Amino acid sequence: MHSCTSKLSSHTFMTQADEALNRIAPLWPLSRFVAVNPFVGLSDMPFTKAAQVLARNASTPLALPPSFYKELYCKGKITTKDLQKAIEEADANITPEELISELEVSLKACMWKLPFPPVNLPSAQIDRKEGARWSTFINEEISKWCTAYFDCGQALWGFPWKGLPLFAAWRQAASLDRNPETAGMKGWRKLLSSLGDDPVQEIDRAAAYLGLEVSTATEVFHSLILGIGGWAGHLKFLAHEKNLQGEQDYTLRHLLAMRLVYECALKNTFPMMAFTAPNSHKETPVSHVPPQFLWQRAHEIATRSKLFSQLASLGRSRLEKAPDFQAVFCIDVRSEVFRRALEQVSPSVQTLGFAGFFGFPIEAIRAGETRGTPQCPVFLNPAVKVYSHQSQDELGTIALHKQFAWAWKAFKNSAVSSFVFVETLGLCFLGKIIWNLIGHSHPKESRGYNIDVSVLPLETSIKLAAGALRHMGLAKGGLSNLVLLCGHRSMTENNPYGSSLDCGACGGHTGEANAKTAAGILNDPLVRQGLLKQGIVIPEQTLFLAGLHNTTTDEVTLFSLESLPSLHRDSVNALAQNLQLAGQIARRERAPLLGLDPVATNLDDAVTARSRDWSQIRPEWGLVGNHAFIAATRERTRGLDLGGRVFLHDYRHDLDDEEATLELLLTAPVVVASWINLQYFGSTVDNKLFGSGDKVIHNVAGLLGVQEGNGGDLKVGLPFQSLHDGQAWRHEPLRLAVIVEAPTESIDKVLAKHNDLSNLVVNGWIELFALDNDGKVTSCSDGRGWWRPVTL
Amino acid sequence: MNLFHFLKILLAEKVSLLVLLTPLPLLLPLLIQRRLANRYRATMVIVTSIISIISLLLAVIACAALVLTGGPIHHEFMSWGAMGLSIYFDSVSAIMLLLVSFLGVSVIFFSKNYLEGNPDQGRFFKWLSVTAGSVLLLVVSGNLALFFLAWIGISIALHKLLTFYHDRPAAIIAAREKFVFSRIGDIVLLTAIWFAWHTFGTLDYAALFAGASREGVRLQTIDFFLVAAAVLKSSQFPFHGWLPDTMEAPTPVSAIMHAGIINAGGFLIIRLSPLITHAPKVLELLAAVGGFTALFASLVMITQTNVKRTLAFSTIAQMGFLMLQCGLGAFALALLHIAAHSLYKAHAFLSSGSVIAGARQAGSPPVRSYLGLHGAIAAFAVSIALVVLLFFLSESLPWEDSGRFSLALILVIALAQLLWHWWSASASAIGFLSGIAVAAGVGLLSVALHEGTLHLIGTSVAPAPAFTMAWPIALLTTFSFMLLSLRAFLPPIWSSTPAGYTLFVHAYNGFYVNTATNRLIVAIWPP
Repeated sequence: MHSCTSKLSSHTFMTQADEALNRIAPLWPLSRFVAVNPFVGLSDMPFTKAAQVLARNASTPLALPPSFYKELYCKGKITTKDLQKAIEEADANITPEELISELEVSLKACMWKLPFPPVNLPSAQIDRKEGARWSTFINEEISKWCTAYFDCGQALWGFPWKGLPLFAAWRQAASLDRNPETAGMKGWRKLLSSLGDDPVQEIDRAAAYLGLEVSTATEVFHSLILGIGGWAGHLKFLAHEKNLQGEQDYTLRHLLAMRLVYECALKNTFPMMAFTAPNSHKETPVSHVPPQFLWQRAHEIATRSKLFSQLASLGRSRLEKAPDFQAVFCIDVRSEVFRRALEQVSPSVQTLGFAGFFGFPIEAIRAGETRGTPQCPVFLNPAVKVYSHQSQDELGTIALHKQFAWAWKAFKNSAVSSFVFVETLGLCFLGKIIWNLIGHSHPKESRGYNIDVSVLPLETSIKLAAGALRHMGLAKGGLSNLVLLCGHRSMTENNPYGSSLDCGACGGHTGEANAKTAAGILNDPLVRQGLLKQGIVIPEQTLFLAGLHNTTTDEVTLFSLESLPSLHRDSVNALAQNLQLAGQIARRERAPLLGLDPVATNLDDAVTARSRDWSQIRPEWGLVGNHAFIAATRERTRGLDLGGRVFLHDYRHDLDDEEATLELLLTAPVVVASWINLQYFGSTVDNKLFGSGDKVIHNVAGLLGVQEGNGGDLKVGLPFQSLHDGQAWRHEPLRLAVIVEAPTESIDKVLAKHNDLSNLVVNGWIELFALDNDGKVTSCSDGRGWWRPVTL
Repeated sequence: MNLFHFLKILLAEKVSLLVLLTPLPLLLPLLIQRRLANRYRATMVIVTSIISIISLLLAVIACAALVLTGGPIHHEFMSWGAMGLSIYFDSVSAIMLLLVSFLGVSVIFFSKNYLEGNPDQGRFFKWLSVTAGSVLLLVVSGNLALFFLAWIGISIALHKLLTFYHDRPAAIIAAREKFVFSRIGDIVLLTAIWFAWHTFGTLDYAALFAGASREGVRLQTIDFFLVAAAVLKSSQFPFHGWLPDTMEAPTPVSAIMHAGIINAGGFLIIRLSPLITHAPKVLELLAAVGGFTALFASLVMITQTNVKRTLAFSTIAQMGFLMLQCGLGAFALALLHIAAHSLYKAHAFLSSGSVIAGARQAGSPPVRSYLGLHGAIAAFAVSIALVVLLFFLSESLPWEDSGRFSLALILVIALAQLLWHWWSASASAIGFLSGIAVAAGVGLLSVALHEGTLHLIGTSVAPAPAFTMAWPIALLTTFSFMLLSLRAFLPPIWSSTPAGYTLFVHAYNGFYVNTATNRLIVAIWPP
């Protein structure tokens, strides 16, 4: 590519490159897979504008196919009235009838019309002309080296240049790599030897060589990086982790440089071909909203109005007397089903919704380990390290076990010894297969936590406890004798995506450590003394109890039962009994969705068996269906069947001094919920681009991500099977409706302070509603301080 | 003729029918139209599951009957010239029958939930069943013609499974690659069969085995083509390129392929060992190809970064080792290796989704110390002592037979590796002693299994060739294994030399065989 080496004094394309790279969303590794908004880098644009950018650079309609909406219309789930509303809102120059006939046209083509042809990269041009697969090949090559570089322990003989920066390491490896030449890419190693180690410079040189124009380079870069979006996401994740430590990271540029070099090599390979310079198409004005978004919007309008009338019908359902006990659950939509069941079993319970880390951002460290992972929402740094406490003897056993397990694995996998391993111990796997087939698989579970909070710094404990109680609305009285802090976890077998079903607020882990830490600290007499000084009273007889809700089986485990004070033994037993009954009701409710018979007598066993089944591809439905977030007291929703589709966060404006809780609520749980919501949205509307494809051919790469089939880019988002049951979509793409019971002025105050948040509202990534004193959704915010009245 | 003898013959006839019936149920779905299979896929799943259970039960009964009657059961139901409907059932086919019908049940039951909701699940079950049925037919066939039919049947049914996702270009290319190698393998096998027919005038196993032991028959050509067919079928270097590229098919396909189908080549050699053992030069060739494949694929395996590709190269290596065992004349041990590897690999593929949970559970690796030359010497000394002791105890010394000797040496290397890893991870008295105990346990199990296998099927396969296997080849093989194992013992600095770098890059790319084969296939069979 450097036959005509032109020295560039300044970095012409860097602004464009960084702008394109900023649009990439991070991707967490599978060991702690948390939901990410795939549009996070585009959320400063309006939804429709972002959709246009993606349509241009990734050829996606960003909507389910026309048949989906046709069916909704035929079933009456979208009415002409909803369409009319959507049209009015968008100020579009079209009638509902025209919209329906447009749907019919698209129905024949089985897809929505895309306004732009794809960006014409050299690889795409050759592929189109020669029917070749160069784009795929390039992706596979880049992914091959990225997997080697970032491998967390799959290969016994690891990548030798892990110490170098990505681009330099790749250059070392790729300059020895004969694979591109074997595949027909000419002059590869020669080209590589002419490169330097500075990716910034290489981006400029390559862009100039390919003839990119400064005005459209951003879009071309964006298109390139979306093509290898999985690894880009991983790099973004690493940058995010560094950002939390206050450092900057520019490794994404390395990936873009690598991608560009392959394009240059391809251009060299076909010197006779007349390439047109990669160019991007000029934008069309947004005035014309594509029909799919009007349909999508009408679907949202229809769903919202159903929810709003449900809320209005209830008004407010007060508890008759002070609750016997309180149970705090995660805001996760799966808790809604269980909370409703628990309230049904025991009318004297008060359930609350709060982020599942209970306000205790910790780094939990297992026995025998020196490091843990952050167990808190991904925007936070852990405030404190919590060690699992073990006796010296136990630690010794754990260490030995770890050493032996490692050595045995090395024996099993090494060259030469693997032959003897297979021949002598292979027959044992007969038993393992039978065991698994009859459903007795041993879940690969980590040791539980045994947390001693007395070793934590008291100051921190008091601070965290005060914050948690305040934001839960329990700082000014109202604590009952027994408070259950119920985190959650999932239990699935043979599932690379296991952690995606765990608690997102605990950073993709089970909520066990957080619940135990929270309960431990809140029970600590010293902490209670400290709280008293701040005016927060925890009655002496109040006991906090840690629990864990298994969302796959709807069983709740209670912890530290052996050390219960005698005073509470009876009430805890009653609680345990109620939880058990509630579990049965919740299982019965979820059974039809899992294809089980809800009235079968052995339902409990069937659900447990499912969670232990190594072949089960849909162990549970996760957060499928999520579409709304309600921040209000439970009185607004208690008794309503919200179908396990709504995030419920408790909020009482009258207890909230200076809107501190409201601010936290809108900037943290709401944002997390919108990330989850948009992850489901993206994975549903374009599973190829924003989802992780077919579970049946998943292939775990580098112990950190998933590839589909033989290799290629890391997959992002959720698998197809987690969203679709084979007949129909289980998740409907609906943007999150956030409903807050608070005066609009207070909400506006928070919006004015947080630009990122108001951007989400202004640009239509979430929709923000206010709930009035009668339980009516009255108005909808435009994010800039104007509230549009809502009519049902 | 006394009554007992009469009963035995009667039973044998009944058993032969039973054996013939074992593959049949699994082959029945062949008659079901694809559209019907998909429309009634729930029924299809249930029917296929029941069918697979019936096959397994029949196999169990047949094996039990074999134990009662003893000796091989050989029966011809009908024949048309070279083609005959006959079965040959002895301990070799019995073990394979049990193994494959069990694997059939496993993958079919696994796929019930794993492919639930897939609109093509009916079609998938149809071909999964037919594939397993074809392998069973191959296993019990009593003559080469029937064997050949089953051999082709497997390949065609597998092709349907490999192209299950026909909209995935990579799946199509890999399937075509496999298809081309299979057809070449068919021609080679057909050639061998033609020569056999020409030489013996029969394709019946029993007659062939009897004919082969007559003096003066030249088997070199037949054996060469038989071995070549086996090499092509069992993904030996350089015909292995398709195997790591077939991950575009659902996981259960990989499981049945790596556990059931890939063994066809090895089974061919073991089944026909009475024929093959008469051609020492061909056996040496087989040992060389197998040994090289084992070394090559092991090296590639340890550099791979995704689970399924690692498993695929592990299969290639294990198949190479299997062929090496065959080449060294250890046919009985080769069968043990097939059975053990099948079960291991089926489990490994089916549970390949649990590596993340496994890594989460394992936590950070323990701190390891590099033991240096002294450690290596100690590991080898203990390992040699253990192996020598075990062979003395078992009263079968491997000295005089070069084949068994080199396998014993490989055991020594493996145990030394085990000790080395164990001691370097756990540098304490407990670690030292437990390492020796584990190594002794593995060694004991290995020798016991070898003895047991010889006892069980020693009479059904050819004994190690009467001639002494060329010592140079045996020693060269062992030496190469030693060299390969060195990577574990050498200090980590070694891999950061220019030679180490280059070797890593080439090995990580599988020495470019895949890419070259892919390119060739796309050129001759464009998409």
